[in-house]
Amino acid sequence: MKRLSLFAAGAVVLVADAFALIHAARNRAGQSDADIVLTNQDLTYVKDPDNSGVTLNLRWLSPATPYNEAGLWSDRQMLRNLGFDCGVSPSDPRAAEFYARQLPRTAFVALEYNGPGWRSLPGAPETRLVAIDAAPDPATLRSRHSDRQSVIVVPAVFQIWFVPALPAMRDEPARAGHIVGSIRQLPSAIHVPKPFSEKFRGVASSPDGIYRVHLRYGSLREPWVTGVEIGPQ
Amino acid sequence: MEQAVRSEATAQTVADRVRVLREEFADPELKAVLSLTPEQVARFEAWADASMARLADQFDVDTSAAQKRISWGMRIASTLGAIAICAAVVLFFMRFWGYLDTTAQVTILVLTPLAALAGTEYAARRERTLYFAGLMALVALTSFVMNLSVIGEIFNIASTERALLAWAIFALLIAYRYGLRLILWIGLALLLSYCAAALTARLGYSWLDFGDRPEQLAVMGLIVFWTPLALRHSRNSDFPPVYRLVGMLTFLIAVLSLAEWGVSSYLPFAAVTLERAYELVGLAASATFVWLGIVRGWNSVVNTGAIFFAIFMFCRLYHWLWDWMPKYLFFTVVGLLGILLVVGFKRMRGRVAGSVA
Repeated sequence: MKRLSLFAAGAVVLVADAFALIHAARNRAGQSDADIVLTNQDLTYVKDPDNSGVTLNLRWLSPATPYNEAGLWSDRQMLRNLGFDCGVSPSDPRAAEFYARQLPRTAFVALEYNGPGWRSLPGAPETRLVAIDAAPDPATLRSRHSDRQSVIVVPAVFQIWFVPALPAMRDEPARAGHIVGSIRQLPSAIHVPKPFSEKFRGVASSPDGIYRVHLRYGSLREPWVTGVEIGPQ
Repeated sequence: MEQAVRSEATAQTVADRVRVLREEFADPELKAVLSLTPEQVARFEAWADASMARLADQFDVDTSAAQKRISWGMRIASTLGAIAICAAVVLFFMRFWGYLDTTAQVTILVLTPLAALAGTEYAARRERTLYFAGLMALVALTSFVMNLSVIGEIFNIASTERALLAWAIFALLIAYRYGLRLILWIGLALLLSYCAAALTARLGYSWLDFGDRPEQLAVMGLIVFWTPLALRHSRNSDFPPVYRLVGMLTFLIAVLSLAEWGVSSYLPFAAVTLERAYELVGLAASATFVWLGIVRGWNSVVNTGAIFFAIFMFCRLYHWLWDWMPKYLFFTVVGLLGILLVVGFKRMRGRVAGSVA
């Protein structure tokens, strides 16, 4: 009994680690949700002399801007589906405070690689990964976007904004007040384990490095690296 | 006096009282009043020497003012040293982990906090002051935080609030085992964070935004404040003040943030109305804490309550006066109010002294 608390503390460490490892195993078991190949334009790499681990960061685009009233993220039904309360009209004087009070919500986003969403963007952005859809559950998104080699479904945090009305200015017409949603955050950091990380030892930091990374997303929508190719294709 | 001594904190209090009593008996004025016989003086000195020796032997307390000052220095040095060692452990791991395969990484991550825990136990058994045990405990906790964080990074696991619970339980277990107040602080802060984060996540929000709804933290702060009433601390008698301070700070900081940013409230009222209401709540709560601290003899509660009362009062004056009053006049008003408060407290102190007499 004297050492009960000591053993309990040790048990907490072991149980917590067991939970984490079981979670990782569950993610990798069964059929994968997506298999995709991304390039150095979609995954940035920055060398850190104090960190010998290799971590890539997902680059993605959202087509919405605060002034895109008709864009994907302005659909009020979609925002309601994500859990936001859109009950106050943007023209209501209380709208600014009403929408400022709403906390960001967790849901899922579909990112499409090299698809119509990217091709429709002006200026041909470097990354070809574009957010094209959102829903509260991943199964709904996957049923709408079944191509598992070009669409990945990942958890995300969404925020709602109130954009106030703007008067007409020079060449710009007047804009009515409106509400818009945006992706505030999604898991972008991807760890590269050995032996794949060894290939990055000779690679320069972005934007100079050239590589292709094979990613697999498991049943819990968490990715892992299954292959790396360095150099031009 | 010594039958009630069960913790180092109580032992130190008893040792301080014996030391002060000794110093008072050496005062010529008191000597003349008491007129103790040489036998009585000798018996008192013998009793004081024996008590101090017993307390020093059993609890390693400070028996003189000089020792106390050195002990404070040792506490500060050991805390800073612990923080530096924790940073070294984390940075050392980050520097070399990329050269290991996943199995080796996970093995080292799991073993590091267990080894630090074993080191804590070893240090606690070897040294009663627990300076080194406290240092190792902080390293153990840091290692455990690094453990789960890095395993999450290795397997790209989406961040979750559940790690906070594991860290909180770990911290509380080692705090209670070794009587470490700093680790208790950290454990309570982690537990409060977990409870707020879990509620936030359950409501469909991102758990990282748990601080954006301060009301839940205010309620939890009050629960922590009153916990020592339900949870008796016969062994770690210096823990209840930590609960009170953590609970009080959580509550008052939550109310202060609502008084400045009413938009973050759960309540469906206008932000300005909520801000005014929470300002009043903050003033009333601070004053209540001061009164409660005086009645119960809780010094830290009195001091913290007084500080926050001043902060809430300053905020109220700022909202009323800053925009239309010249700045020099504003600070003059604040200064005069401070003087009035001192006069008021002095009168209150005089009344309390009179009622005791």
